[in-house]
Amino acid sequence: MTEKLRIRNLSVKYDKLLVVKNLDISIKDGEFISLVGSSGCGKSTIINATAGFIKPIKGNIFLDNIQINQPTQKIGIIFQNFELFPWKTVFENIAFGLRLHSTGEKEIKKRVMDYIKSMELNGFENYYPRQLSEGMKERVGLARTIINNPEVVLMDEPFGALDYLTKLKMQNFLTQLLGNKKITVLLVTHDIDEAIKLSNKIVVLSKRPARILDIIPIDKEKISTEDKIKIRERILHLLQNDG
Amino acid sequence: MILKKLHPTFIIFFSLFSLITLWEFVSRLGIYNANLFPSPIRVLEALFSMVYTGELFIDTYFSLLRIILGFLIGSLLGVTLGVLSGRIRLFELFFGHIINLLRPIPPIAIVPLAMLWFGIGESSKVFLIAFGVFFPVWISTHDGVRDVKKEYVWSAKSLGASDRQILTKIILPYTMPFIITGLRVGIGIAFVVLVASELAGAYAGVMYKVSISYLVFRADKMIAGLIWLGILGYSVDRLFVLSTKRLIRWYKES
Repeated sequence: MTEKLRIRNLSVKYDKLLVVKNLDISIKDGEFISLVGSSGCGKSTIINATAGFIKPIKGNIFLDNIQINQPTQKIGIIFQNFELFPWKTVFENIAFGLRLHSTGEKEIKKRVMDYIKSMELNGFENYYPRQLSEGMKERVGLARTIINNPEVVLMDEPFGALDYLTKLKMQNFLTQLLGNKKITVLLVTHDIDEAIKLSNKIVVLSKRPARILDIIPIDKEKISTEDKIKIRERILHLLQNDG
Repeated sequence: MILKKLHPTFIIFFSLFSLITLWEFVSRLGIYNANLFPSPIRVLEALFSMVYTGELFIDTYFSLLRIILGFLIGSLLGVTLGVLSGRIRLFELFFGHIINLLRPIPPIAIVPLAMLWFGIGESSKVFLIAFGVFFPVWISTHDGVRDVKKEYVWSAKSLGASDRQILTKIILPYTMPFIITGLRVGIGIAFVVLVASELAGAYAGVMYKVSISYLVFRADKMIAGLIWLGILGYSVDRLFVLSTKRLIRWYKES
């Protein structure tokens, strides 16, 4: 697999505070990588810098070996609270990216309705975000990002606000959706089990300023329950003995 | 208990009917001079005579024209400068304090100055109304723009929105409820300033008619003019609320 996304020597300050220090991560095409670390260690800052929303004080981000300095359509993002546009309906939220680029109305309708159907949102297309459950908001957020065919998707604790059952359902949903599309994913989570379940690789981060404590590869095809427990314990050990 | 079962419209009409009946009753008691405290029937007659002669239409035309022009100028400036000061830090630093310094000055306080600068013609009235409307619209727009979550802007950018699209598709729609609130406050202020400016000197206008009627002791015409002004203000406000409702359908009113 070729390298898709490269975070090289990244250092980021937030409110004059050094949040990320000399971080190096390489993500291959189609890989699913999770960043785990304690609260406030700078995970979200890494996502925001990778997306081009905040400028690092040092280091670079490369997508397909091309340096990126600003947000690009090739990198989609899903925030913790989904951040759906409250003034737009479900349909219009999902269609937002397509409308920006003068896609024909007929095609927009077809593509959006396909997603509404596959995301099990039938009948809710004219609802506003405030009228939806958290799980439904999550699905609209996913659809709004994925419909634009990004090559990389950054996710900032997307399941953090969901109850346990909805979270399980959404994780399966995501695996299915991304598996079909071969999208490269960088997920930020504080949930170790979630990271083990979804990822090909887990990057364990230290307390602020975030640096890499360990990178744990996961073979999703062969992993046994015993392996999962061992990985879980290893990550917990790393986090508890950090600093 | 009975009132609870009645239709709201019926209660509204009943309350108005009760007020007019009480007014008629008090005026018939003869305690007050009928010329100074005319009965509702006399006021209605005065209103009809103003309609019959056409003077009410001419005065309404001039008053509404001043309101519309002043409101348009004040609100356009308010929205434009509100967006600029909300988005551009340098602009806020440069103009924000000047605007905030002028904001506490009641528009009525500058009536004499406006008369001195623009005379008693239409310009002074339009200027005063625009001055009064500008501040609530500016501050609402400014606050609304400031309230836009950075994640909305970031999401739009990652979906490929240009700076212009962020303004038209994110900032303005999000700020719309704030702008509409500012505009509605502006409508109320516009009527207050209209009254002050027409009282200070005019050739026509609803409040001008009231002041002229005062000079000839026509309390019936004065009250008719004031009631008509109330109806105008209420109608403009209702019309505004109804026409803007669709724009903020998404906004959950608390």
